[in-house]
Amino acid sequence: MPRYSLEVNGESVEVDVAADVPLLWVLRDVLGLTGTKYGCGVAQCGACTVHVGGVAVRSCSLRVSRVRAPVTTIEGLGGDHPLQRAWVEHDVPQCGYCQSGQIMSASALLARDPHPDEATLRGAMAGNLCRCGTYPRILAAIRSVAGD
Amino acid sequence: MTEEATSKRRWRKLGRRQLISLGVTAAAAGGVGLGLGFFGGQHWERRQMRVPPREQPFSPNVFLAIDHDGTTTVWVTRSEMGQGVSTSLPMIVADALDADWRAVRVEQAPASRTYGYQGTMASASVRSMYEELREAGGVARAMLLEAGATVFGVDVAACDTRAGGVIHRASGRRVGYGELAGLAGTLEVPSAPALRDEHRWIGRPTRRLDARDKSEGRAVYGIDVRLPGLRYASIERPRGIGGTLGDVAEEAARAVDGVLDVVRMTSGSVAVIAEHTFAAFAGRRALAADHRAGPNASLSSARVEERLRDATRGEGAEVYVEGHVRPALAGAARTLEATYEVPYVAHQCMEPINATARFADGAWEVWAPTQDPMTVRETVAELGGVGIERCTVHVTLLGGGFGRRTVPEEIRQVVELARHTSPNPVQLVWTREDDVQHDYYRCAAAHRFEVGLDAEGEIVAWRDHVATPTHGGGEASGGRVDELAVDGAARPPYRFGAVEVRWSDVASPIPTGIWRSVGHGYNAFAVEAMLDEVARATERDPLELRLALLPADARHRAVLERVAQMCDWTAPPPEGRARGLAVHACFGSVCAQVAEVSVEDSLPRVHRVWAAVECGRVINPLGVKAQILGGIVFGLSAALHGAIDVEAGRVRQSNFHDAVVLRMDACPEIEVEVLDGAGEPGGIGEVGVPMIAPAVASALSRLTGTPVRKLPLFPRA
Repeated sequence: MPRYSLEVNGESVEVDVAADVPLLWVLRDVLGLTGTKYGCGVAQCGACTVHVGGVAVRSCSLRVSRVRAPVTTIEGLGGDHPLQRAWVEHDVPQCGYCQSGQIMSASALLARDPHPDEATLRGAMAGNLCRCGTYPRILAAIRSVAGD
Repeated sequence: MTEEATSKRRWRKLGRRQLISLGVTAAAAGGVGLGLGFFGGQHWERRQMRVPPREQPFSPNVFLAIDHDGTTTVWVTRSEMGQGVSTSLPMIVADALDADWRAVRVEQAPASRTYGYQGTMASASVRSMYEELREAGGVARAMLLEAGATVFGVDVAACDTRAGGVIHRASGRRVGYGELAGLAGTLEVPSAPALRDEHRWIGRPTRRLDARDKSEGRAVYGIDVRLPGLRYASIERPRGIGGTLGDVAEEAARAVDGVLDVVRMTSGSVAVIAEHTFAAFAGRRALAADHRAGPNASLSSARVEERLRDATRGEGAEVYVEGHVRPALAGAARTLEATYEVPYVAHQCMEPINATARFADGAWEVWAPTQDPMTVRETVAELGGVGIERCTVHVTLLGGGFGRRTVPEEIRQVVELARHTSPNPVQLVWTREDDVQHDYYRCAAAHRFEVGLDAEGEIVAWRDHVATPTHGGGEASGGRVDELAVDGAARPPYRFGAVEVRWSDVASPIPTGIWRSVGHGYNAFAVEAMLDEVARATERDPLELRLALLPADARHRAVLERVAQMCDWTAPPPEGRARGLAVHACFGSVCAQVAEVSVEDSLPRVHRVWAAVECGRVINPLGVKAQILGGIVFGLSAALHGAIDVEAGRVRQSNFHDAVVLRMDACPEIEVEVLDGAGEPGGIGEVGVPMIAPAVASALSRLTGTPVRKLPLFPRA
């Protein structure tokens, strides 16, 4: 079986899986990092969002063989990220299942555009579904960090 | 009977009815009442049994325990699916206990009869547990008070409690609950403790206890359960409703990297067991299964919807009658007729359906994100072939529920799989496609209204014929009214003169189930949108019309008046926009909503929503607001996009690209206000859902001049 070297949350890891296994399942089932969620498998819901080289990607649709930059998952965000604190402050989560992906999308957005306008913000977050309807609090939490 | 009493009776009945409808035994359904016998016959038994066993020195009942360091553990016996019970239920205990909230820790109770009824449905968690949890906390407080008085060497009457400690009023001395736990644990449990009248936690806006875990990726859902030697499985099932699987390429599946086994299930489906989830999915694809249509090869939801429309013109069964509607219609100066329709809708919980099971040493252990742990446990015992005492069911967090997780189908599957993997555990994961195509859908429905108006435009007759598929997809009921199907239409709150509500059902094999707000969802859409048609036809303000038609003591009035203030109802909306209003009472609460809508590129856009809710005594105002807001988004998503189509026996939609749900870019600004309510707590999880569809439809009708009588409002993807 092929062997792939990855950098995940600052640590080097080697995994033995087939080339076509998506990063999502390597994270969840091989490395035990279950904070990244499976929601659709076709890059439609955003629950599996992680950073690869600082960019938000849908890990369900990225083969492990194509990962060429360091990976950061929700576990790697550290817990003290301003967005994570804002999420608690604004009481954002309900069921919470989508929130890892929401936070990873939002943190990638703010890293490249610290003060997005409303349309940019909503557009950047439109790839992350939430069925509990936490969207308004997600927006409020991001705005509080973006300083708007 | 008062409305409160009716509402209380109603949730009990609903809970039992739903259990029965889902195939639970009568004995288990009787457990609905078990939770209310806490200080009755069950008391001694419950004191003796603690599942799991407890280390804490003080645990006067199943719901709480206090350790020497003051840590106060509360066992939550309802499922946390986002609705906030893991915060609101502990708040009730902490309030009666007078606990230090910072010392409160939450444990999810496993399935066990010692906890009483554990189903999470019918927006009944707080309603059904309020008194019991108050008593549970109150008992503990009384014992701690007695222990504190003993320590101080004074009479109990000279002592009080304050945020996790007992104080001696005269001297101001204080001793913490943790320090008293050992002594309190030796005392006799009082049978009827006095409860505090003053509330420290009930009614206080309180952030969720699980927000941090859920923001850091540490919260564990069913799909996150990881165990030594865990196998992963996925099941290839017949694509069509009632279909079968022909040949499968078993060897090709076995050749997929990571696949461990291929198993033909008793149902005829084929499971692939693998080292990781993706290998199981890939193995399924490699099966290249031959999907054969069964007896439903020509089944079509469009045809069901046509039959529902036809059924509304039939005889049907009597649901509610007041006065004589036929003569009133015949004598009316004017009659409005309209047919309203909604399609089948899927739940689409963000966490796909899954379950994990292990069968080892003659005992079962199951991890399930379920709304009905008792049924899961009974299912495991029955199919697992062991006594229920050898079946442990851990309730994980649920990544959404919405009624979907009341059906234990995946439990039946995972138990069968775990026999193959034993002693290794196995996790079954449905794909999103499995979820969308094999749901227990919110049923399609049709309403036909005939509304008679007198010469002044006043309603003198209201005839509503509701038609739904038979619940569960079986044979038609033969005239016995399914109360869940007509909830929300059965008894309009308005003074309509003569009223007749009838119901017909149409047998269809399309599986249906409970979907957040159940009958209220589609029925309130039709009733409230029809009432708006009357307002438009008679050129009356929809708010004034409702206030004129509602009895003086209706709870609807206050929320209507409040929502009108919130949105400045009498002021015209911005150019190009219109507003729609709806109000509905359900699950012991009442909510009014106003939606402000425009049309962009011939599609509706909802800009703003205002909601006022009155749900009796409020436990956590933040939780109530979140539920109403979330209910609006959920209801709006269905109103705009929700539709499941069955064509040639198969569900056409498969994933979020064609089973579309509301996204951030289309989410309106939403304002929610919670009114002070008297009386017992009402339900809240489902209460915000039903009003948004009629509010939006009415606004659109006003904007376009054409009545909007059919959902969804967007064309199918």
